[in-house]
Amino acid sequence: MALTTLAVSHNEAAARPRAAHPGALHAEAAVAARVADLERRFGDPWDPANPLGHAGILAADERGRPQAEAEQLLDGFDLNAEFVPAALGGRLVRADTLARVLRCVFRRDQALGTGYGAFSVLAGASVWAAGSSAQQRWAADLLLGGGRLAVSYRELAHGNAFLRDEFTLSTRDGRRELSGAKRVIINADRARGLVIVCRSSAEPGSRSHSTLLLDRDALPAGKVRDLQRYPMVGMRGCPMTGLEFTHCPVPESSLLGQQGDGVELALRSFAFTRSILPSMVLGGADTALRTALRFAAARGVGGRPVERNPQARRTLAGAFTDLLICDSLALAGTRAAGLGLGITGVYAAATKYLLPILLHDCVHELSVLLGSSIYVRDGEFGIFQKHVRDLPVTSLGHAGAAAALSTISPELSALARRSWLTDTPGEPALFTLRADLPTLDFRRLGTLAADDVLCAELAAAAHQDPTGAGEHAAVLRPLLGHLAGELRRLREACAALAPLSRHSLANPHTYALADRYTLVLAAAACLGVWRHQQGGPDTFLARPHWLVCALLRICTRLGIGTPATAPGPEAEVYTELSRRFTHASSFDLYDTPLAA
Amino acid sequence: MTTAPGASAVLPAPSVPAEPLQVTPQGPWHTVRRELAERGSVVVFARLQDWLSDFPSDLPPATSTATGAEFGAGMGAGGDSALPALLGRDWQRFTQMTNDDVRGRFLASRLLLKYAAAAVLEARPADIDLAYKPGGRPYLRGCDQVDISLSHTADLLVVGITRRGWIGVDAELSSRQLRGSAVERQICTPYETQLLARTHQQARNAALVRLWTLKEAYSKAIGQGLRFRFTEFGFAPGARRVQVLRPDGTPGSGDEWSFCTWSVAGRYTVSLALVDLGFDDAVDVAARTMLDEAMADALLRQPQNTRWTAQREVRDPL
Repeated sequence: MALTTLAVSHNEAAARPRAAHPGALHAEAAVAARVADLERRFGDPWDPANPLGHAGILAADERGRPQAEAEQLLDGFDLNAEFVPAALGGRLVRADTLARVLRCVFRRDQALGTGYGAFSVLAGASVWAAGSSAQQRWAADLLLGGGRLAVSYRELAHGNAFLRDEFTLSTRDGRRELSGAKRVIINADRARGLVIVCRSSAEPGSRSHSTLLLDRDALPAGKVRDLQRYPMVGMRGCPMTGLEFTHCPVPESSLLGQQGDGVELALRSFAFTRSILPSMVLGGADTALRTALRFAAARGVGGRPVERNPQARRTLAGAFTDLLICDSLALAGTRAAGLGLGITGVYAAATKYLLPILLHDCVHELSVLLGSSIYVRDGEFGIFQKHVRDLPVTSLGHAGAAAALSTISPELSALARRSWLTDTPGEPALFTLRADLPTLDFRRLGTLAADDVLCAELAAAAHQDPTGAGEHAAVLRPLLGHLAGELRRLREACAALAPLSRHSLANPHTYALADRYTLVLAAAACLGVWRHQQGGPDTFLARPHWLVCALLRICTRLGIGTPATAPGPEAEVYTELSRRFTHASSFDLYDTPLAA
Repeated sequence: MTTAPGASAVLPAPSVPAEPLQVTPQGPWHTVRRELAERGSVVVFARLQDWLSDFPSDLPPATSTATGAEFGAGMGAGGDSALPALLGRDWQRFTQMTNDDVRGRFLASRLLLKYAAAAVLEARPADIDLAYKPGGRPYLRGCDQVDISLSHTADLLVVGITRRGWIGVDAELSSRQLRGSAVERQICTPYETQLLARTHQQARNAALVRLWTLKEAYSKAIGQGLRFRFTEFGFAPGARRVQVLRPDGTPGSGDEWSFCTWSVAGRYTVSLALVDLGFDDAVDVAARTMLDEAMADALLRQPQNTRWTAQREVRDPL
């Protein structure tokens, strides 16, 4: 790479390593301290006098602009260092801990999390996975100096405004040049570094795209221009504009990897990005649930205090259970990336597919409790509707789901034949949420779906004597039986899929199988979390109540085994939710102390 | 920075579907597909008997032990053994139903949903996995390019389909007496009661039936059915633009919502609620084009997928 085209005039601080040595960044205490620091800086979100509280966030949303004070806070925290691998001077060592830190930001404001940072993370993945050392150094310095990376993907099947159209890379007079327009790119108008997936050959198939890393400042003026803001119902404070290139010359050295590597590189980076982004977004649903609890505590539900309204308590406990299901799958997905498992890409796709569905349903169920207050756009409960509007945006709607299913469906046949219901050993390190992991290696990110260690959890749990579940063993045992039966049916159906033909896979039957598989994975992830916290410090997770509720909810979605109204030990789950609400801690696996 | 024109910075006005279209198992499905492509949403209605004639209404009595094979065989010459496969997971529920009217309506509505979904996804009805959310809302498992909603009353079935977000439909007999009933007090917000008081007596029942169907359609679109209390939100009877209002009449939901009410077959009131999240989703909703070609090809080319025949002997530890 010619450094002349990619020089960043960063300040001294930019090049300074942000941590003494990467090893220290792994430690639970270090991560918890960073999260606590961020919480302290943001302060009490419910305090109307706090400019960084909900009132300020709602005002920025109304203006349709990023909230300047909040972005300054994140500058002060040096949040960008979280996005840069430790080897390049940043603090990024693990996917699960990165999601944990960013979840604090998403809990406040999903538009801030997305617009300030998450898309630099998504763009960066391609650079860390395939960039030359000069490209990596440049991108790292850009981020460490407070700059941004934006990313534009190619046109995907059933593409929408985010995933339609694509740029074309061609050669004219011996020079590479880029043309075309893309309607929506997050931060397109304020990112200096652009990661652009573009078509580099007219041929069909998987070798016709390439990825470029461009320095916006080095591109000739007049050859690139910004398109107008794209209006969305949600995430109004997140800059969404488009870009148009017209015969724009790009340096030879801007290719990430080789020409034609675009699709494979995207699949590799998706193995990281698809689990990490939904894991962050979970923070938005946390605030929606917290607001519903706050509303119920202040106003009651249906004219009754929540203590005397069992239906309201069930709804609240159900929402908390959904968040724990989501976090269990996200945990397995993000930790699989750290372990370098071949099946990471499938787990990440399952996370990207399933979490938006569960979170959508979860917040809409909560809306029943708030009643007409779901329409309020200011005041104490106004933040609820904002999170409901924001939640679907990062999923990218149907095009996002189709892309995730496009990764899962081709693997189903081989997984069914080779890995389901075999004696594949499990992988306890997927679930030990506070334990160290090897440093994330973007070059080793898996797309070769080998052993399905999550499904192995189901087999292992079925063998295990569930008496550890105490009085709930009698409920747990048949639930595990139903899930094993579902996996057996899935194996039979998926093994019958013609494994080498895209055309024979492309029908609703296959997509429904893929959907059911993601639910089975979520159940397996919950089981894994429960089994591997036994004897650990997270005593709520080690007890069976949440697990039984989670598996009941998953079985209901699968349409197997239990009537939709089967009661679970929801009272215990509600008690824990209530404790966390009163003591201000997070509604995810980590039970993290919050500012308020 | 230069800013190119190209799209307006305000949300595009949501397009409203055309009048509901009557369908039988024979169609006209090409019209349904065209409406969905052009307008983003389509509402179809059907007569119960049109959908039961291919599957006789004198169905064998429900027995808890009936299996698909037994049922298919029991249908004899007039039957159709394709029914268990067509109903999928709903088959078991169907066989356990004891009331003939309930069975008939259940069967006809599931057939209509599957045929309509298959028509727009350009797939076989038996390949559609009709699933239910925990609250009972039907959806097409694995195919979220379209959202569906179902309503039935008397001998009318209504299905709404959209490719633009979320949809809810509801149908009631226009003659249903709501005026002066307990229901009137249970469904109206203070603002609605105030406006209805100004409505002429004759028009008041029609306004109430319309309100009821709008409320049902809206709460179905947000996935909550009757759980979302009808006194927590409302509409302005008589207003030109239909929008969700708070109980005191101030604006509720935003411009992303649109609503419609039609009179169908001379005796039914049918309402639709639709929310468009603004993704500008693709016109193409066919199942066969949904699998991304480049991604699927890259994955199918991988060694573990091309060597699948060399599987090791599997044993079932469960």
